[in-house]
Amino acid sequence: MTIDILCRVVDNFGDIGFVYRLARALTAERDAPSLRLVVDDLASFSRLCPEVDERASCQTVGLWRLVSWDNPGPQGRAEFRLQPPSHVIECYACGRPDWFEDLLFDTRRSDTAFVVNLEYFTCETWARDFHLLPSPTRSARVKKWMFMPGIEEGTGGLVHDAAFDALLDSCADAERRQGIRNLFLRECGACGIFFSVAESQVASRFWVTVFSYEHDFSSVIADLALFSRERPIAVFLAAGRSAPGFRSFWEKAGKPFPLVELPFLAQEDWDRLQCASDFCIVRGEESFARAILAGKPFLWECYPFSSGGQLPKVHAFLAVMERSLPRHAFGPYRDMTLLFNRAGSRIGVEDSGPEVLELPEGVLLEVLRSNLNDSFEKLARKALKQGNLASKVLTLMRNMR
Amino acid sequence: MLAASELKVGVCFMNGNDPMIVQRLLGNKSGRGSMVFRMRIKNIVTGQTMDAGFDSSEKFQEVDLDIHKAKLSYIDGDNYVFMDEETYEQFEINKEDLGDNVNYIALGDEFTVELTFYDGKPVGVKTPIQVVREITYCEPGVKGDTSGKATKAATLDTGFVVQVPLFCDIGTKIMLDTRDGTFTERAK
Repeated sequence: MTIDILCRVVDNFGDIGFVYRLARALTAERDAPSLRLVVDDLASFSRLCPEVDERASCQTVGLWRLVSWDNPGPQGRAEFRLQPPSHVIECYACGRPDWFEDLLFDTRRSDTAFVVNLEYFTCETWARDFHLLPSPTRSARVKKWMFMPGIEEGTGGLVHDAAFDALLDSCADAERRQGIRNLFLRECGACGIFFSVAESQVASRFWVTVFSYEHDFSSVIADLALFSRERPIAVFLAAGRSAPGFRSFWEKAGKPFPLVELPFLAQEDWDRLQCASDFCIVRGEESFARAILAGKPFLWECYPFSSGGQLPKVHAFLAVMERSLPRHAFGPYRDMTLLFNRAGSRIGVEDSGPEVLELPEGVLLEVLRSNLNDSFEKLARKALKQGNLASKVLTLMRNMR
Repeated sequence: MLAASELKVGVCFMNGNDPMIVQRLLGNKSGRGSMVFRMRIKNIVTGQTMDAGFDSSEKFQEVDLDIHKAKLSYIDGDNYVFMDEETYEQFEINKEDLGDNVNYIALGDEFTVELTFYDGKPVGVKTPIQVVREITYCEPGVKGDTSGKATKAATLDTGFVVQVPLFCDIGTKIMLDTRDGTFTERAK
């Protein structure tokens, strides 16, 4: 079986990061399918996967063929003409390039082609309603279904790739977890910038990872500073547009804790950091899914939509957390999550309007002081119970009629 | 070609070789990509219904339909009887086949609907995108709250229950978007 995975990058690395992980997980399956990836942003892909040549219209990357969405080139077109698409995964309702559409709906074909629209991950209840719904097409020989990732029963689970699963196993053991930290620091030490502390002092601290959208971080930094008096911390700041702002607030606050400003990390290194951290602030969907599986406490900032469209997704996640967290801990966790998702993130938001709030001091501190490890481990177990999205989507494709 | 985003209750499209009509919008959600919809659709020929998911990137062939302008004439049990405005012929459509459109039409309506025919048989109606309906029951209105952010349930003259802003009262006429059954504004 050959599966074509289609991906259009909306923003940053979440979309292509998901596709990269899905492709690796599918390749690791028993009787793995051949994969052809059709991607519109090869430059983003090449940052995650350095083997990718962003200028090549058609290339081999490991076991996969990779073609450019807009320009598959003569070689790509010839290959797809020779073997027209038969099993297709469209990620996030991305649609299809015209040349691909023509081949899929070619009226001279007599075989049946199967398409799955693989949607984004959400905890909203509608995910269950949409999961595995048939999806009409204009041709009787192109059959399509909806597929919803999720952590609730009746959804398609999250992607588990072998490397991430191995990492989770390692992190369950304190000694091996320390080894992962040391390895990360060694590799990151070559390019990461350490402030206020020697590299050797970082490994045993309470690790906080920050990967968010832009904010006024002053209260976050104040709370982290207060917490660091109780328990020494090291903050790992992900590369990206929120990094300069965070560093600037941290400097204004007198550099109250060690800060490691990270370079852009490969997906495997980022996974290692997330799993080895004690507390993460994550954004988007791909890091959100990894944070859930990592089983460590985290705060999630949803991709901001216009007019607060992210809030139903945030409330749906909080409804899950309300069932997982102890009652006394849920209040501050809910407050911090809501504040973080309503305050100051203006990327893609046309009208933040009056809902823009300041992040008050003390709320994050309360969250950090709560012992939430058991609850987040429980959440990870719940997510793991839903199985591997890659296996499920492959089973669906094999059984489509 | 018809984009999936153009599908609404009463619209017909080809699902492969099968002519279908949209009966109900069961939900629409926007993700990082384009909008996804869940709809109840009915095979015009076999009468079989199914719930289906759509992403707005999909395109469909339109169904060859005859369209007649008509007004609701009377309701006989579960049958809605429409009168063709030109020929005065009357056509019955079952309430079930009207789907969500029963929420938007009532006796005495000023506006006309488009009665759609497939193979000479009436299969559905298309309503205007905006219709005016009257609130027959809701909790008393709250004066001064014109933000529209806080809402309450209101029953309309069709029996449909819709969320409306707090300032609305019994007797208030409102504009309703028939694509998703939501309040749009107070009717002038």
